[in-house]
Amino acid sequence: MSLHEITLKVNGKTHKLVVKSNELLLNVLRDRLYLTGTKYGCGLAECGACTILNGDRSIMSCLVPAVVADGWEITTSEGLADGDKLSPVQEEFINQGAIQCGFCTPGMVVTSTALLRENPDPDEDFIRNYLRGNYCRCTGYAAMIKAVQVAAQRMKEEKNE
Amino acid sequence: MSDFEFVNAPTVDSAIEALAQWGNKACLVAGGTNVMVDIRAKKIKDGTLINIRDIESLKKITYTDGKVSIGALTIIEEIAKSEIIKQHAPCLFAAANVFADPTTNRSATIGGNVGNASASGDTIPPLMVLNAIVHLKSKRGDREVPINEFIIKNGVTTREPDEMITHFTFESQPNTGFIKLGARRSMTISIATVAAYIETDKQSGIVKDCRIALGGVAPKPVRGTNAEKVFIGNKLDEDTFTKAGEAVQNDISPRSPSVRATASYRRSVVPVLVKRAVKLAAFGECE
Repeated sequence: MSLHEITLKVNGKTHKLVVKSNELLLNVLRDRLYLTGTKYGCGLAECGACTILNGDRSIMSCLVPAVVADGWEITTSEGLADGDKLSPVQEEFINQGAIQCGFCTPGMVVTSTALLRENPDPDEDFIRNYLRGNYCRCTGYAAMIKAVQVAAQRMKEEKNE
Repeated sequence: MSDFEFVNAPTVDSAIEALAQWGNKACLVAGGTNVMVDIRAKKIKDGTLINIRDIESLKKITYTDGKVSIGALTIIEEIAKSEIIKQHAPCLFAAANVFADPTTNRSATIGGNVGNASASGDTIPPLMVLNAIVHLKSKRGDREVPINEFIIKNGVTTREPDEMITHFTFESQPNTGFIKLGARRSMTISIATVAAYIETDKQSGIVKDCRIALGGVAPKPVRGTNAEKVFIGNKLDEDTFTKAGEAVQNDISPRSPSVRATASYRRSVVPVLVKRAVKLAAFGECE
């Protein structure tokens, strides 16, 4: 076991941390930075509940030793809102009733955010394919797809205003 | 989380230096989609992870003089979007597009998929029909191994502990196809996969050359040599497909009991998959 000094920029804030070689980024976010929005689901990169953004790209934080993330600019579900103002994706998950038990929601919202940054004008197939690795055991997928569609529409309209 | 040591290797030279130093304890990690899961499952214990994720020189897909080269650290997403792969290796393009899910595909690398050497590794049968060469590097020098000789059994390859895969090369083969059968569309380990390369005489429609490779239906990805013999010299008609479906039974050895499907189910679906993969290779569609 060795110790490593790393710098993480999380939700705009810079953290200098000393991490053990076998410490997962997921656990650092949850247990040391108290960002518990990111969920520990399967721990096997199957379910998508631990998805975060590295830059604009989605990644599962249960797969990443924290030492690997040195220098990364990370956004977790807590960092998507602008102060008290929720992002369009977050708001539409609420408006469309796309939340049931809520456990998969942070991962879904983060992956949907990555989706819209990559493709601001997605069709339904694109959304279904993009979210295919995020599992919702309440099976509320239809409302989530609707939420992403409405959020995309809103973001397009806001951009044109 | 079990204990492990960690070394950063930002260049190929530093990676092979670390491999030489840590020997049998060394474990290369890039995206971590296999390695981190294996650590959690305690299949890897007390190892030293050598982080090769950031070696930019091994992330390139190039095409020169009819030859394609793919760096070992190319992520599946890049392969799934690559025009070069789409044009020159449709079988690999198809495999990348049904691989895991988009987020995983941003971490998982082709070198990891091949190095992990799972019997169901989705990129392996395509590389086998492409007759790809695996390029390995160590402090002792460079080595080239045909993919068809690289995998010994499930999870075991001819890679020595001090070697790393640097890249794969193969010749452009537009007439290839791939089909995957899984229990669902996402994050599914294949029940069976078939990749095919086919070359037919344009006038007569007779098959001149053929390679078939199958995943998930034997202790390692295998070539369908018996089925290949049926195709060569014949037309792609129903009679040939029926005979190939019978011949391929001697190429595969699905285990029973198994986690994802019974042996008899695999034996029943493989002829259908062979037919579809060959049609994809020959005609670009299978319906």
